[in-house]
Amino acid sequence: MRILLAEDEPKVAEHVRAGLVAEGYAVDVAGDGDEALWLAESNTYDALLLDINMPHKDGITVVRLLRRKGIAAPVMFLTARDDIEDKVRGLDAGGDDYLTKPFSIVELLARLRALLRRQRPQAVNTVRVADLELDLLSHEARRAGEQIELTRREFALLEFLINASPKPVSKTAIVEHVWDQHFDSETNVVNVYIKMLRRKIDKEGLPPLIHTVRGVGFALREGEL
Amino acid sequence: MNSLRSRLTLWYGLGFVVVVVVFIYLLHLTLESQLLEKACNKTYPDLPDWKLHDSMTEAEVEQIADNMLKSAFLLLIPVLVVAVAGGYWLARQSLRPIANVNRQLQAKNPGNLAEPISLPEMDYEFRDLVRQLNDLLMRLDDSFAEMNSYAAKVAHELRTPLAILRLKVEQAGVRIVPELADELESELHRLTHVVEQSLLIARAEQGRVMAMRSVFNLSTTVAEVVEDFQLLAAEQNRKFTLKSVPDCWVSADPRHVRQVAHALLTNALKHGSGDLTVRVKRSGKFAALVVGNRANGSPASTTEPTLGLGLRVVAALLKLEPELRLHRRHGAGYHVACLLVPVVEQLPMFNT
Repeated sequence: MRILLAEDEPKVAEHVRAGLVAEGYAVDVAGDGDEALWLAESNTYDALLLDINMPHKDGITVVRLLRRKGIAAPVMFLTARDDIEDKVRGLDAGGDDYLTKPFSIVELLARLRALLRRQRPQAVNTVRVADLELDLLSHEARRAGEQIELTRREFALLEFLINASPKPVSKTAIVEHVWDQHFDSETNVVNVYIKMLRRKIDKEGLPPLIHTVRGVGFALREGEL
Repeated sequence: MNSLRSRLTLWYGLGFVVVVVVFIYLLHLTLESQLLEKACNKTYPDLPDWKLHDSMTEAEVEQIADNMLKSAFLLLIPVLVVAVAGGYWLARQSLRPIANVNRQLQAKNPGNLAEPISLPEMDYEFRDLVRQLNDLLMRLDDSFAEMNSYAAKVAHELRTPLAILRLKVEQAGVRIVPELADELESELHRLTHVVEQSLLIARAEQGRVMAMRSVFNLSTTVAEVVEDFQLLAAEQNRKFTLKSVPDCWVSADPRHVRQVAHALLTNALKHGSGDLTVRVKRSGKFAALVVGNRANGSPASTTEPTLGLGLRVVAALLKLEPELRLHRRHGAGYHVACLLVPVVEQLPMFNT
């Protein structure tokens, strides 16, 4: 999952970013409202975490402009203001949640998970395709009851594939949701990770779940295409 | 001697010394003449051959005059020092407006070209020069803004057709030859990446990207960045070595450092060959991120690596943070890029 974090206080931004990265999210950081707007227009994000008080444009204006342009990614406001009027203003502008500073990173992660869960057809913490099960809370993956050790990136990729299942997803879409803006998509990083995942998920003796859809990308589903 | 300040000091000092020497010499002549001929001469009418110079003989008079000369020349040494110091001070004062203009010009970047150069007390000689400089800066700013805005507009305009093309390719994926669809998709993605990078460069050069400086652990950041590159290197059967000091706290914008590290590693991976070595080490007041690419292939594979657009992004980001320095060296059989980031001795309150 790719997240846009807009926060003008560098220490807070770095702290939150580190917390999100540790949970396997790909994170882009914007230092002001203009940059946040530009990044949100240029990239596809699964969720936006926006500070309200930012230079150039405040978080509420950013959300209003994004909604006007049809960008519907869920938004959580992070702010030091805690009066009801501000909260109402933020939510009315198109925000989905509101977290008052100082906050705990654990709470932020829980709220973000809830925000992302609401985007899925079934709001559950465990997703499953055939005998492959992914616990989004504990970041554990199991196939046929057997636990699979995955890196953060592998887990993020598998989560993206499982959320799209049974539809195939393009390499571009994978890069956009699993990697942050710094990564040069010209490398064959997606193929390398898919290969790693196959080694771990589609072990010998088990029916393959990760399929290459020629001309489209990859799909995670049961049975042959 | 190329410095105008030094030349002015020398001229002033020498001029002062010449004047003082001439003065001393004239004083010596006058004193001698006074002692010998005028004020102290006594004559005796009865004895016309007798001349008395006060109570001194001619030799004594000469000695007095010589002593005076010696003392004067001894005094000339501190006079010379004072003259040089005075000359230096005068030269500095006279050239202060130039130093001021120079300082303001050095601080110029694409974001503040339009701000005029100002001198609080402008002399007539400098007024015209400053006016011309300000006119030049205005013209530069105009053309710079025009160029950037054009680049940004082009990149921006490209976004929509690219998005449409991508959708069309995705929709038509199953109806067209898979290899072609694959190729089209990857080319479109590459083009989108180029557009986004161009927009980022334009934004950075317009001064619309701000540096968010904070204290962070460079070793942790680099470890995070190299994760994917280790896999990619293994895929190419290239040995990847990461050597890092455990804690290396630096002060910079972590986003920019990550981006530069990405660009350097991508460059080493895409344009280089052979083993890859990444090192994070302390080097005086800086922490160094060194990306070494041992090229063990043929000369053709060890050609000059070109970062291209990546390098432009790196250059634009480095301009935003002048404290960061990037050095690149290419030799026979190796390429090394070294990013220097200022070290922070005191640790922050939290660990990232």
